[in-house]
Amino acid sequence: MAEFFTQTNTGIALLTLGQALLVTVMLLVSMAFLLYADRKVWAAVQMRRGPNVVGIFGLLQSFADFLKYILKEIVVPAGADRTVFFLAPIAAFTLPLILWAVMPFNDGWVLADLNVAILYIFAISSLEVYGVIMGGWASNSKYPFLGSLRSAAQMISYEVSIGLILVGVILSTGSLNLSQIVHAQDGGWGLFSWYWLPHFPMVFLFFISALAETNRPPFDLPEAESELVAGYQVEYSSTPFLLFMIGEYTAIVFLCALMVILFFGGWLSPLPFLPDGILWMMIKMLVIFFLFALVKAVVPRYRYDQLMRLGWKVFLPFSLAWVVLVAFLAHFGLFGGAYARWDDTTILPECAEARADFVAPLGTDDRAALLEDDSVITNRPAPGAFVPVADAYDGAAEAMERALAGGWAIPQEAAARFAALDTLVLCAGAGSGTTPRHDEFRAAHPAPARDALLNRVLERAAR
Amino acid sequence: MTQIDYARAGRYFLLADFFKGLGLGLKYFFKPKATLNYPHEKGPLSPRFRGEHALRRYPNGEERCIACKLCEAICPAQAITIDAEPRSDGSRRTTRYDIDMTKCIYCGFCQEACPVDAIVEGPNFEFSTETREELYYDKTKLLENGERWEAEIARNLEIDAPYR
Repeated sequence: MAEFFTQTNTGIALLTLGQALLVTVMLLVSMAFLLYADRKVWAAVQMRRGPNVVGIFGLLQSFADFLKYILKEIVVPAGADRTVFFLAPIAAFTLPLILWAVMPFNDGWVLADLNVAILYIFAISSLEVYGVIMGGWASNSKYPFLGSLRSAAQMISYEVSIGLILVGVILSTGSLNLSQIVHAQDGGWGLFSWYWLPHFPMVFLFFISALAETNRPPFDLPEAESELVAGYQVEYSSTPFLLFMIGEYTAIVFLCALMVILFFGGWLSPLPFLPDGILWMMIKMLVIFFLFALVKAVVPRYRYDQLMRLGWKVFLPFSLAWVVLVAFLAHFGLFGGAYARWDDTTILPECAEARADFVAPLGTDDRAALLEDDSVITNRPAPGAFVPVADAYDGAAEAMERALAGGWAIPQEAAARFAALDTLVLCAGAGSGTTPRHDEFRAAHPAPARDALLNRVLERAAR
Repeated sequence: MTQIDYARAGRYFLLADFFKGLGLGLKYFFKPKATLNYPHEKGPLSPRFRGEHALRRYPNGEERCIACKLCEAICPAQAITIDAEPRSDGSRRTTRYDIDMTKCIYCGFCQEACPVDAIVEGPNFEFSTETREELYYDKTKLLENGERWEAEIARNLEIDAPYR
């Protein structure tokens, strides 16, 4: 049964479909409660009670609203472009949902582990503007159209600074993959190894840009419920309006999740001795969402020119300068490498083969010493790993010299192992290492001498 | 050259106002709610609260109203209509006592004017109806209110008596 889902094409397709469905359903259900939480927080700050009638503590309010929305009549304005009019809410609903495909909820719990996840997020969130534009245009009415233009201008403006903030994080990680970004924050210091510390000012910039990007207060000018009617949504009612609203909240929660991934270590535990897990991810997302809700209750609305000034004259230069700064800090590995956490270590196959060839016939103790540091077979061997390899080479070379001088026969397998050891010494950094042991080794066995010795050994073994 | 206000610029860039606002928001977040859970929870009412009208009776069951029409006369909204006739025992009583609750402005002049504390405004404020007609109160309805709210009305009158 397990093989069907992991081996056959149909099985994999079904499994992926099931996972996607699971994530979608969980998201939409949690969205209902987050909407409720949003209203409750908003109410609490204003010393009101918020929804408290439907279900215990009003927990089912969102479901009542949902029913109300879908049971109302769908009104299509005269002269509206029907196709685009209905395409807009569908786009506004589906695009934020498909963003979640690349969101890792836990180590390995991700629908599509794209290595270009950040690019994907950019591509899709840029498309989200189309839902707004189409909605405003297809309504065939002045005010939705003006509202949609404002909305689109706002979303595009702040996407620029969000992009530059992401570039800083990408520079530090060396990967566009969200899981990799989280792994790069997995240091020994718990919450102090997360990116919020090295990228501190960007946390606020990202948070504020996220507010603007999702048309949340204080940047809710397109909707401005106390001044305008509803911006681009004016002509929408019933289910299409519901789709717009769910889409908006999905985007908000996605940006909360993205913020957790980028700056707050995703599923990593804030204290090093506690286990990591999806629970941390959820808790962090809820905290950020709480802040989103709190901000909505606290701040007054920005004026349109202030919004644009903030986006283009404050956020853009700041995030641009930060990218340059991070590039500088990362390149020179300053602050203990806090800005340069990329890990491009790869295993070199010829070194792995040489180690296997050399270690296999050895006794367990010697093998343990050589196996201890796996970095020997990678492109960045640890300096300390050179010592046992060099010691082994010293001994072997001495034995071989003696055998050659004494005119003794050298068995084929012994020659092969010596050849493997010769390769392994190079892998461990004989040529490029900078420790005293490296210098000593290079003095004792210069490269031409090693080559000559190996050739003589192989010659003798061939006879 | 314009002078740059560095203190103000510093506050702006450190988001000082924003954090102050967030702090204030959090403070109010944990404060007790100012609103009531209305149908289940009600606020306190003053003994002088002027709500729905009621006609009272004496403890022996006799109507208090003597049809002096002072209330009808003082009513600024002219919501009260009274007809009176001598009763068989010779006492003067109303045959009709109507209040149009849609006209009433709840000023309380009627109860101020009443020499026998017959017409009063009770503590009830939940008497909305589905039709206007139901708000044209007649004598029966008012006496009924008097019986229903007598305990509260008597208590309120007693508490307020020293100030009258």
